Amino acid sequence: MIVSAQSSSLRDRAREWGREFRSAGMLLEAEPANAHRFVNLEGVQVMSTAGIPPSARSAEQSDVVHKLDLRRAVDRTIVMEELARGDVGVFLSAPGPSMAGLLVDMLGSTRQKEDFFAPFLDRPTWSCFALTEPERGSDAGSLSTAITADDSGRLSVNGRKRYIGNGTRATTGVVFGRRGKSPLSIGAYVIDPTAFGFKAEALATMGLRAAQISDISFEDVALQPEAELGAHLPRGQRGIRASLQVFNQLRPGVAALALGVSWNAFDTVIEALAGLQVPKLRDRLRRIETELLSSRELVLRAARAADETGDGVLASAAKRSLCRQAERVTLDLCSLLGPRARVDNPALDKAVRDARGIEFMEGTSNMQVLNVGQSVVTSVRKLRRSTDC
Amino acid sequence: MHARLGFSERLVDLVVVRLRNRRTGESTILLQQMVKAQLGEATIDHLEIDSLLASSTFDRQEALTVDRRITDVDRAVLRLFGASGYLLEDFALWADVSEQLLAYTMSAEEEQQQ
Repeated sequence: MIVSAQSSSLRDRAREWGREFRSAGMLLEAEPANAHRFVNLEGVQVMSTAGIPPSARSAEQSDVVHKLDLRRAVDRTIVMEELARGDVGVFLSAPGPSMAGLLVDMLGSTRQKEDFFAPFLDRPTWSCFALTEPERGSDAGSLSTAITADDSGRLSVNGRKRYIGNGTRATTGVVFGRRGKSPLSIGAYVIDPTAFGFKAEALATMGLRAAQISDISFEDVALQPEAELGAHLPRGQRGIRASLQVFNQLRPGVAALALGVSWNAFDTVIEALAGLQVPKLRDRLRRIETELLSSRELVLRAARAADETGDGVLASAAKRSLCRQAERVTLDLCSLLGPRARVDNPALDKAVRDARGIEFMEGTSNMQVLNVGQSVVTSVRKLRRSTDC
Repeated sequence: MHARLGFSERLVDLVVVRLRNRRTGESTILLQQMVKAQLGEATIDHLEIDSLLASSTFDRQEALTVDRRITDVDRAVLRLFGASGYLLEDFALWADVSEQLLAYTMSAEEEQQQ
């Protein structure tokens, strides 16, 4: 049966899965091409099928313990925080439908969902979500990847995408491209990265190396005739608007990843200080722990808002707040161990580098601040205080 | 610290050149008010740090505080580069080296005193 994600033990279980990620994280950082070595970790197995809608599973497939339904933002944030507490790189490198799956679930026809999700239930399968283009990071509406049809109506894609997670290992995914000049001509299409003309190359990043953040080029890559997602919907509900909805759904989870990285650094320093009599440092650690626990409340509030109303403003606030906190807290924790902390403690160095990378997922801090500011200016909705909940 | 400050100022020059060439809608990213404000904050921080370094009371005991302050300014400027500021190349790589410079220049004795 599907494990109840609402169970109070979800966090405890996720923390156990996360513990396995810690040692795997350093190995995967050194050899990011070897993600398949870790597909048997329980947390990786959970993520490999999480997000698959029940309608896309057969009765017998639903009867597997590892199939956890993480489509609720609250459940996702709990699991994501704990897995990132183990290692955010292992989490990001896990196979699974991930962002592409959310979009297919949101826009796809019954047939598209069956076709897209089937491989994930069969074997470890990686996916990619190819939206961002070089030099157009925050301006998705100006993307130039072209979807064209030849005389016989056969669709193909040409263009370049950049900063795409798991680009080198994906065997399925979605790409955003345009068929005309209008923003409404932008659509999302299911792609086959094993097709001729698809080329992905991992970028050398400061951290999050396990995620194999990639540069992807499409050269006359053939699309299936029914590749466009949401073709049965009005134009305005597909494309960029749908991608924004996916981002709103996932943003509390990204905040949870940032929080997980902070906890990872915290745990590393606790281990480094084990057995030492350092009362002043322990006082500072207690203050950091209190801060992280209170931040968890903000993440959960944002997740509840996303589940209940689809509202993304709190999620923007949480993402901005937790990303900035992760950068600051990882550096603060280094300062407890002295100037050589990063040199002498590779796990802490990794957390410092990883913390910076969360900034670029699902919109930068500036975009989140503008989003929150816009909600204030338009007075669409007053943000609730925690005491209102 | 002077080397770090010099590099941090150079980082601002580099991001200005980069954002001047990046378009958003009918304008460039450099001309967005939020971006200009952040560049202004970075420049003011640089001036304050420069004054601190020139102060007669500044000693190596204060190095850690100033070191962290420069790191914070660099991080803010790096964010303006977008994801390219996270690549292990060019200016982003040097920013990371700058961030860790103190670890390699402070003697064990000085570190103990911190």
